[in-house]
Amino acid sequence: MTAALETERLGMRFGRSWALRDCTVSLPAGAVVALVGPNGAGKTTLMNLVCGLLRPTEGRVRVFGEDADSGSAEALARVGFVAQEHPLYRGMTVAELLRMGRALNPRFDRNLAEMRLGALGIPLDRRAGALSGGQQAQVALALALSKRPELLVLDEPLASLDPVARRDFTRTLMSAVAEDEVTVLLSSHVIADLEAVCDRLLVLDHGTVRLDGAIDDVLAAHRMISGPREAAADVPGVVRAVHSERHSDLLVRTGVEAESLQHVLHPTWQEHPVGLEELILAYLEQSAVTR
Amino acid sequence: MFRFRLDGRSGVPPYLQLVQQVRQALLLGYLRQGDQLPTVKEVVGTLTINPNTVVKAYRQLENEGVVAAKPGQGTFITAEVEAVAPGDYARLRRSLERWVRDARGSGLDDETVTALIASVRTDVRAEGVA
Amino acid sequence: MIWFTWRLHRAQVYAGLALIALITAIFLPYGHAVRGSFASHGVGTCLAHDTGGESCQTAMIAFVQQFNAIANHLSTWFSPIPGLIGAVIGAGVLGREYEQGTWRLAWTQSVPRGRWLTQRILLVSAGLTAICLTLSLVFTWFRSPMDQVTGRFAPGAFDLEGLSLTGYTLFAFALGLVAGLLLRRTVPAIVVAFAGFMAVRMPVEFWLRQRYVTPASKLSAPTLHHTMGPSAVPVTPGKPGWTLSYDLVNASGHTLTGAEQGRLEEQVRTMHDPDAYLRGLGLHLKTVYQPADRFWTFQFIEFSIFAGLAVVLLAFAVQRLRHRGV
Repeated sequence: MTAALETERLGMRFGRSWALRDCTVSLPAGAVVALVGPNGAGKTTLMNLVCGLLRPTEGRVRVFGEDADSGSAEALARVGFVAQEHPLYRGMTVAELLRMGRALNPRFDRNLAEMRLGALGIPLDRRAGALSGGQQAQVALALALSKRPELLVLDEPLASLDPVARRDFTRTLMSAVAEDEVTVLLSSHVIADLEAVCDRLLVLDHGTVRLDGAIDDVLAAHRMISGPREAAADVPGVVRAVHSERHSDLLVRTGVEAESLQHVLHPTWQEHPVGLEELILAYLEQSAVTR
Repeated sequence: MFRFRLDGRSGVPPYLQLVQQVRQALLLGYLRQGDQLPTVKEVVGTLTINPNTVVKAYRQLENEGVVAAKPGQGTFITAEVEAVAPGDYARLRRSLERWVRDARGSGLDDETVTALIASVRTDVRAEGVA
Repeated sequence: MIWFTWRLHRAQVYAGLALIALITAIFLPYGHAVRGSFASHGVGTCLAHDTGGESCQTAMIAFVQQFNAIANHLSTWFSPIPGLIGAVIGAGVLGREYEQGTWRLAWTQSVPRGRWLTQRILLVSAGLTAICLTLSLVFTWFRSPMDQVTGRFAPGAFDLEGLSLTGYTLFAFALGLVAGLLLRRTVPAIVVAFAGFMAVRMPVEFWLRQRYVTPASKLSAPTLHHTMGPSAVPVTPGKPGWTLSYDLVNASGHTLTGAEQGRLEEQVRTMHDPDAYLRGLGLHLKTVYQPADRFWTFQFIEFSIFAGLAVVLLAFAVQRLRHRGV
């Protein structure tokens, strides 16, 4: 099966600094991928490369096997993009924005967009600038979805929304995933929102990939263990260690067969499953230390 | 129609929460053989959850023989689980109530009570395995 | 793309039409006044019989002076306008996209951004051209009686009639667009584009334009009654052109130096018929000028310079947007 998104040693340099380097990932079709990382990690750069807004300095990006960075009409039609702060032409009405969508996209489904926005109670004759932030986000999402893209890219879609708008937006997005079988790449630094929404995780930091995998696999492959500090040095696969005077908390990468840990560990060690947020933060902290 | 819930703070993966809710509902008799589970789209619409997660949960239930998908119709409960008989349920609940009151009387707080139950449960499970 | 471009620029189109209406409303009565004065001064008859005779000179000077003020105002006030209009519209094309963040919406639709920009440029340029040509027609109509006297090389005529106005506007538009691309802000782009426009426009008008084609020269009977420059009242027969210099030359064909000419002027000032005296000295008047029939040649050259620069700038913008990231 071809990957929905495939990058190969992808790199992007701005001036003398690399925003993204040596990024090789392969995201399966149908996945909802959370792209996570601190500000400046290279999330937006990666997304702009996928959307064809940037040309890579090195490496390649493929969307369903076809080059995405060519900037051709076909490549653009395959990817839907909702940019940060979901920009719209504020002076246009919603209906005019949909007309624009149809004028600029060959597969644009205006009826679908009108139906979805109608169901959300968003008036088509209202100017975009007069809509609430949540409604603007919904219009931007409707524009991107009505393109009938194979890959939908969303840059911090939830960041500027209040909790209700956030839930509504996520619900629309998830319904679209269920109905249109679109693959989603979604960046966020609000990790708590992601667990129910995403099934795959891609952690970026300082332009490099820290972690990449299905969320369930990743969680199953890690354990939080706590035990005597003097024995902490013997534990293999430590991602992050927090030591107090006589006692250590370790986040350990165990591999999917978690039993392997039991042989190594002294019985005094206690083992807990690890949460997504805890795990992501551990990886980001670790990279801050090792750098 | 059965309704799922999602607890973001539990630390249990969402797909597992769905699986556990179906199992629990079967045990408590809220779901019976032949009942239809909500479609993936319906679950997505009410829970704001990734459809892949729902699919994964349903697939696991299918593998366990709890449900079966009928193409074009939906997912239905197939398992005949011996639900907890109402009498048993009431009796167990009463004895647990007594125990909790006892624990309170001995000065145990909620957290300690929960820890104690978890510890006993682990021990009993260990006996079963051994 | 046509509808989309129209939707983004329709306010500017309305403003352009309003400007045309305003200019027409102002200059329609003036145009009639100019025509009335042209007839009452008998300028037409003078022009039909060449320009000879004191009375004709007086009549033409009186006519021209009556309307010089308004014509000069027009050229003074209107000459920066093409630069401003072009810069404002050009800077907004990309500047607004960057400022409002809509570039990320616009360039992730299924129209490649190079094509998107090319089509927008072509459509907006077409609109600008139509508006500018219309304005030029209005100005040409208003000025035509004066142009018959002073020719069409005067800045008030040359810069507003024919193709030049359109060329200036397109050039300023291109500058604004490139500045918007590089600065990513509308207002700074307008400022830079306007400054750049004037920096090219001024040297062209005051230095380069008279050198487009080697000027012609002719000898005629000597006189000291002459005015110089592109809007001079003609003192010699024939259609007026753009007089670059007058000099007295002696019988052997040598041009008198400035000092010699100054001395002569002193000498003849009190004489009854100075021109006859000068004739007696065997002097001739040498006029160096651009003939009137070169108007369209000059217009084409001027237009080509500015429109050519515009094309180069716009092509640069499209290439840069296409190949560099954003």
